[in-house]
Amino acid sequence: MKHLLVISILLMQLTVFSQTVLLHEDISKLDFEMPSNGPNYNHFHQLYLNHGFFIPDNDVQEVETEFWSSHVFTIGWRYKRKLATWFAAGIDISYTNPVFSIKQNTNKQVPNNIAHAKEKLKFNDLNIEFYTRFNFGKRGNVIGKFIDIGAYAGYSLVVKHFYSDSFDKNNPPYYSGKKEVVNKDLNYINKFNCGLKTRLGINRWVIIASYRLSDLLTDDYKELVGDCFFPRLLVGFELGLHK
Amino acid sequence: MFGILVKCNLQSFSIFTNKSMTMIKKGLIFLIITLFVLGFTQINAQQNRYWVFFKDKQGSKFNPIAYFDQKAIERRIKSGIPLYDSTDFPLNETYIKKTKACVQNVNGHTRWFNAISVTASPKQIQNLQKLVFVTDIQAITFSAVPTSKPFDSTLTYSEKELLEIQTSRMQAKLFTSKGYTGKGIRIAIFDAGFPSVDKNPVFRHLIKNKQIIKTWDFARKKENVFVSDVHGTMVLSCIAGKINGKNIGMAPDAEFLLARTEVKAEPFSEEENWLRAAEWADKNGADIINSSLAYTYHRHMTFEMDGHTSLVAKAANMAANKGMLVVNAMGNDGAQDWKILATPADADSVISVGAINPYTNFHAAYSSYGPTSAFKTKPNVVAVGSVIAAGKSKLKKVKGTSFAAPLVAGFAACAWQSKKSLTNFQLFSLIEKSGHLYPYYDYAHGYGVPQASYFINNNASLHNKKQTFEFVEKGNQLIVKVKKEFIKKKPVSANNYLYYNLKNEAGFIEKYWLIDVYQQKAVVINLDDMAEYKEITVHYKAYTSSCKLGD
Repeated sequence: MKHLLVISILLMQLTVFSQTVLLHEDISKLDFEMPSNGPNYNHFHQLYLNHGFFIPDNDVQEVETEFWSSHVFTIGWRYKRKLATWFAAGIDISYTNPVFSIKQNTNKQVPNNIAHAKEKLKFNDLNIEFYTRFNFGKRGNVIGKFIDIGAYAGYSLVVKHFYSDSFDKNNPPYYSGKKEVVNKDLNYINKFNCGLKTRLGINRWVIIASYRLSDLLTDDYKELVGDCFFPRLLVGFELGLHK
Repeated sequence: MFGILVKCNLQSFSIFTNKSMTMIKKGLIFLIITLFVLGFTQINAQQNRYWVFFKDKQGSKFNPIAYFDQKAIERRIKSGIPLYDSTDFPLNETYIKKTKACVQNVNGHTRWFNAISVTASPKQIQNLQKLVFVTDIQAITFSAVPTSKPFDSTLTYSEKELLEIQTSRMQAKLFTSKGYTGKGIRIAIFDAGFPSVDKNPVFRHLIKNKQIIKTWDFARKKENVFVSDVHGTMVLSCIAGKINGKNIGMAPDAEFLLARTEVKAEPFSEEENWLRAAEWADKNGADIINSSLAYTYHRHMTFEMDGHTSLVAKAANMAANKGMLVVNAMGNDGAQDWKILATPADADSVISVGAINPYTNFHAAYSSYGPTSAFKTKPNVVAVGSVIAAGKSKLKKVKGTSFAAPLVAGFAACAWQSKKSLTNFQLFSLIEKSGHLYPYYDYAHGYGVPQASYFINNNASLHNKKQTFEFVEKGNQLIVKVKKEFIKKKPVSANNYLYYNLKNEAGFIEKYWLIDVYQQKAVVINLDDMAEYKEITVHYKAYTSSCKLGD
């Protein structure tokens, strides 16, 4: 207790005899030169999040999917190199998790014709994209209005086929319960995919669209089930996470 | 990694060979739609606004008596500015007609800069460039952010206290006791709108006494400015508002020209509006322009804040050359990455106003710092930034340099009323000298808060004759030693502020501090580390002194 008292008195003394710096500025640290990094400078990189939905095109060969549960979340990093006031090019690396929720009806062929309560194909992809950017209007150090056009390639790290079924006592197998199954290492899925992307944005607010050119199903598998394909067009919204 | 990518692409393409052409066609359609959108956006982007500058005003006739308001004529005579100045002449009508024939729309014109604002496509601009009377064409780009951060709150006891502080820091009562309330001074306010000014009891005296001389909405080209953003209403209240017999600002008897220059949806016209409003203010006899507008990173780079790059900075300097005192807010980016002042506060001839915290009495964190990118001293002065202002329906506590600027504009109106023979530049200089820190200067506080006593006591210096500290050299140390009688023990006084700065070889202030002093040995400087600095200047309790370093 005595020690505490002595320390407290010493601290009080220190407080009384110290100065308080309320403001300190160093002008030499202000940078009035053209910086190299920034939304409208030579180099810029940012993190972003986006979310989009697959748009069905009602083709007879298209695998029918539920709209609201067939979607993609993306987290990515994007680098932009400014080449002119109105033009830039860059690279984009992202992690995405496309989910296709397959409609359970009599037309169902993919991945088989068995109906379940719920059935989904879940991907975990790593993508790389090269893009060009067109900017509009003079601006300060902000991203401004832009349109991007790019091409991407992706690799599916993990693909899961998920389905669930519910049972009741009155029907086979005559017990009540729920069964959930997850299949991995799907041999009917192409691990590589590619396509085109476009973005229309103002600063951090961006509308995104992409079109997958490659097929998700392998040729061997399509020989069995027909020339089926999953929805290719994705439309969504993106939020830039830069300051 | 690259190998994997190549492999990936090859595999994908092997897939295409087995696909029907339909898929590729769809991909192409997607690309075509994208390019169509791109093209459409580009067409839209190409419909831009430009300033078209003419080479001369040949043949234009000008009658200053018919053109200028009587007050504008008086101001020119007082300032020794000729009534026949070519920058005031109207533009050549033939040039306007010929230009009009080449473009989509003519949006307005500027006599000062002998130019018209047009909407035109790049192709039309190319055609314009061929005209012999066109000397230059500049794209118009700008955006503005009203520099305020309003708070919705009721008027509590502490807010009543704040209402008192916001003008008492400038010794407002000294002016009012002498009858200086801005009478006879005409102030133009450029802002985003003035809703409720025509109905609000805070401005009843202005309406009743017909002190609002003219209004013009440059965005909508209408007379009614009592619409849109409440920012202008709050700014006006900080100059001339009155509530329950108490002044919110310092110049309730001044006359006003209210200009709405800001546009929410279409920022590109704001630069034009500011310039045209300045000409309108000049024509209608304004003595003072208050612009609580700050143009920063949306359209500009920091290196452009040099006082002569942006068009509004040029316009503000021109307005000053016409005899008007231009007061502008520094901006609210002090705590942001941008950090420095906004344009047109960077213009040399503008009184740029920073903000102090009303309770601590030193720099408010949000208030933007100087200097300009050309290392010119800004801000010039500071005022209280957290104030009580009139909103649409009630008094509000708001903060921002937007509100410090009109407090200084009100102060300037009273000061000018007290010394009517002054020109705007003389007044500018005296307002700086009336700063409570003068002759001390730093880039956060300028010369400090202007003091009415400086004008009331016939420019008697506020500078304390009593020496409050001394420089003591001890070995390789320089000590700033405060005299014992000038240190009040805490917590009796919270105002033992000592300001000091260091000037470099070029004579620029490079570093500056504000410290709260608790002991006599206030600052200890190791002279060995100070080789790059030429001078230290210290201000403590109204006494300023400098000491050369390295002598």
